[in-house]
Amino acid sequence: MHGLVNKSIERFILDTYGPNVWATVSRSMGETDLCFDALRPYPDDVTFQLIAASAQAVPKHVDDLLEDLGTYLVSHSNCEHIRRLLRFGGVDFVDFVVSLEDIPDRATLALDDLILPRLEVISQTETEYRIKVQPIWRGFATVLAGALRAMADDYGALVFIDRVSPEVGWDHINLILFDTSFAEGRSFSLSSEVYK
Amino acid sequence: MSALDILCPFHVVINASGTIEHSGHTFSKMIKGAIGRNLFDVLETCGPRHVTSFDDLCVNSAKTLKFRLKKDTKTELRTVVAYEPTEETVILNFSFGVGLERAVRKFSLTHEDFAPTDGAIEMLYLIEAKKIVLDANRATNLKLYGAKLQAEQAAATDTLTGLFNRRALETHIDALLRVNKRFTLAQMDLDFFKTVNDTHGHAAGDHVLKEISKILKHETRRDDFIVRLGGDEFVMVFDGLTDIDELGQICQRIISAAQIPIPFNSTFCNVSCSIGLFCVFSGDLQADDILHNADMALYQAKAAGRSTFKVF
Repeated sequence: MHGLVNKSIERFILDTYGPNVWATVSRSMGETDLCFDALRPYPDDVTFQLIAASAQAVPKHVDDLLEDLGTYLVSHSNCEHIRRLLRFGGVDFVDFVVSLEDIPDRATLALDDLILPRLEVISQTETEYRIKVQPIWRGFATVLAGALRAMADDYGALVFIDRVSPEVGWDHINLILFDTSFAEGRSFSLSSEVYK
Repeated sequence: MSALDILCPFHVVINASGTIEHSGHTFSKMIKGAIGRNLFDVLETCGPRHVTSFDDLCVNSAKTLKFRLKKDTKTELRTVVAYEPTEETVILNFSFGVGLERAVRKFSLTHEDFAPTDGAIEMLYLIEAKKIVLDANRATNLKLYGAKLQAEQAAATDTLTGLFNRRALETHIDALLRVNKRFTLAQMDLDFFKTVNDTHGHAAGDHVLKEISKILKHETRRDDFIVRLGGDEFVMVFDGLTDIDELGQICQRIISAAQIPIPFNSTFCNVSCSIGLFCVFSGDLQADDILHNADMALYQAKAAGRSTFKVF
């Protein structure tokens, strides 16, 4: 697993629950002060152990924790850069949802060793979408569902999001769009200099 | 909205008199009130050919030109020219090239200001993503550099006393020999150290070594290179100093200080020290020879009844 994934979880725990919880997670991983390197690969097992240890330390059900992680990644002020990179995907929320398929390629464009699960977006009606998630990372669809909810807020859209994880095959996220301009949404400028 | 407005939001249509007849919304956003003005009042060419009239534009049809805004000469526009004979007009379509990021900031451009088939948004995305990756890389490099310095220091340090170790000494001597600098190497060991270990235990021995290290640090010059070779053996390297009188004074101070009994728990440890000196005046020697010669001088000092120093 790419170090960026582990680093994200580390930042999430630190920013959301503080250093004491992170120290507990570190200890249960057999370290005193765990600090991941964002730019080097780690064995996949490390990430799954990290998620389990974090859920136990917080404590929260793993699914709830992963969904919170997704929300954190696009809405926390320390993750503004992730939100910005995602907002390049589309002018409005529908545009953004359709562009989800491009995210793995965009990620690889930025970091050639970052291979995200493939995504497939199926437009069922004008307001109903199904997002299929390649099941190579257990729990990724849950993180994505959390991120989508937060991105809907970011665009000011009102949506219903529901996740189905079958025993075999690709995970599904069902998304129903009620209103694309339900709220104001947050501003986005193509130039990063403006928001600083 | 005309087909051209959909396909090329960043275009202008010029008529035979050089007047801007129409412009796509990106051009209109950047230059307010452009319609009806003469193109060459708004833009000027900056290569590769000098273009100042409608006829010049016609000649350059299907070619690429470079313009810049007169009101903001830093904004350069890569331009393709298309002559339209049936209408007797010229269409110019623009892009920002590498000045994209600056132009986006300057004119507050958004997604809608670029044709969806234009790679501009992807380019902006990449610029931003690369910046983030580079920052992360920089942070990692700094961390690794810090760790490297720490590791290098640890590799050169004797853990008990904090003095340099044998590895560091060899590097130091080689460096001095390479630049052909004169220096003096002093080899020192403790007398009766074994007795301290045998009667008071190893903790006492370690304590004595630490106290002696403090004396060596204190009685030498700030830049002298102090080494614990191992056991009760020490080496001092006096860079640039070969004056026997001055060296003798330093040695005498060390010998006197080392003779003072060292308190440990409720008892005192008594040691003394002997020193052998070897002065190096030229670079064509080996580190081993230098250490050997200093050792010979040390042997003489011990043979002469201890608590003294000898020069090879």
